[in-house]
Amino acid sequence: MTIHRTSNQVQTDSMATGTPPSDRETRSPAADANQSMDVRINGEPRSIPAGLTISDLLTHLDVRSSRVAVEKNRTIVPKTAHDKTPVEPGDTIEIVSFIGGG
Amino acid sequence: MLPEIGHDGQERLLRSKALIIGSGGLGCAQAQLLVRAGLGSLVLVDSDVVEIENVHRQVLFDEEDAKLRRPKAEAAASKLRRVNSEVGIEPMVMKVTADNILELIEGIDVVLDATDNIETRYVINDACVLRNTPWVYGGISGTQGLVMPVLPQSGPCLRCLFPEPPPSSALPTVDVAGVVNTGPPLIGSLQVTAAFRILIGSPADPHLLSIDPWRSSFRRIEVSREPSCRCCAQRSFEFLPVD
Repeated sequence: MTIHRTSNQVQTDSMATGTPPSDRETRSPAADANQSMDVRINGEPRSIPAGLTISDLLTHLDVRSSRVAVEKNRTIVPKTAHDKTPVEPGDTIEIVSFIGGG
Repeated sequence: MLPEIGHDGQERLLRSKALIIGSGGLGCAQAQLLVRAGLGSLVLVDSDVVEIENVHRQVLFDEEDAKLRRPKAEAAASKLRRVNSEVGIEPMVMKVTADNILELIEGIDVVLDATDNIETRYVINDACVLRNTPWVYGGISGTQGLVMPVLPQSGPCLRCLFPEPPPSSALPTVDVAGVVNTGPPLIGSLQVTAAFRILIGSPADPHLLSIDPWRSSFRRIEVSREPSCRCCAQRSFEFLPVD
C-alpha cells in the first residue's frame, strides 16, 4: 500500500482514492480522508486517517478482528462495539493478540 | 498470617482441589507455589517427557529427569511430594482432549492453564464455561505474556476476547520462538495468585494482564462480557464433542 505523505498528513490509497466518496460516507460518516490524527498504537506514535472506527482501524491495519482484542485507553472494546466506537485524537490503542505458549 | 488470606482462607485452600493442565514452564511454577501454600490436592496432567531443553525454565526438573526421559507429570509429582507431603498429588500421563476434559474437571475447584498450544485452551474454556468451573488463562511466548482469570458465572470468557482461535501456524511455540526463562515463572505466579483469590472466595474483578518482563511493562486491561460471545452468551460449545 502506497502512503502519500504531505505536511502532517498520512493517507493511504484506499482512503484517499480507492473508495468512492459516497461509499466512504456510508461506511463511516465521520471519515474525512483529508485529515489525519495522532494516536498511539501498541506503544508507538502513529498518524492515521481521521474519523475511523475501531473496525475501520483494524481493516486499515489489515488485522482480522476475530483474532485480536482491542483495548482503547485501557478498556477492552467489545467486538459488537467495534463498528460504533470512534478512534479519537490522542487515543491509546492496544491490539492484543492471543498468546499460546507455556 | 497474610490478612488477605486469613485463617478462613487458609482453611479453604486446605479443602481445595486444583487441576493444572500442562507440566511445562507455567505448570512447574504453578504447582510448586500451590503445594507450598498448603493446597488440599492437586492433579497434574501432561503427556510429555522431560528433555534437557526444558530444564532452563521448567523449575521442577533437572538433568537426571532429562537423562531418564521421565514423564513430566510424574517427575513433577515426586519433587512436589518432597516439598509438602501433606498435599495429595495425582500425576496423570495423558493428553488433555475434548473427549476427556469434562471428566478431568469433575470435582475441581479451579483449573490452571499451563498448556503449550492454542486448541487446548479453547477446549478448557468450553468445558469450564459449560460446567461453571473457574479457570485461569495464562500464555507466554518470547518475552510477552497474558493472564486472565475466567469466572464463568460472572465475567467474560476467553472467547469474549478472542472469538476464534488463530491457526496454530500463526503463533510461534516456545520451542520455536524461545522464551526468556523469567517469563513462565512470572506468568505462573500471577495465575496462582488469581487462583488463590478464586479459592478463598474473593476473586479479582475481571481483567486481562498483558506483561512483558523484558520491557518492564505490566498493563491491566479492563474486560467485560461480549454480549454476542458464541461460548458464554450463546452457550455454543464448538470445541467439545457434540454429545
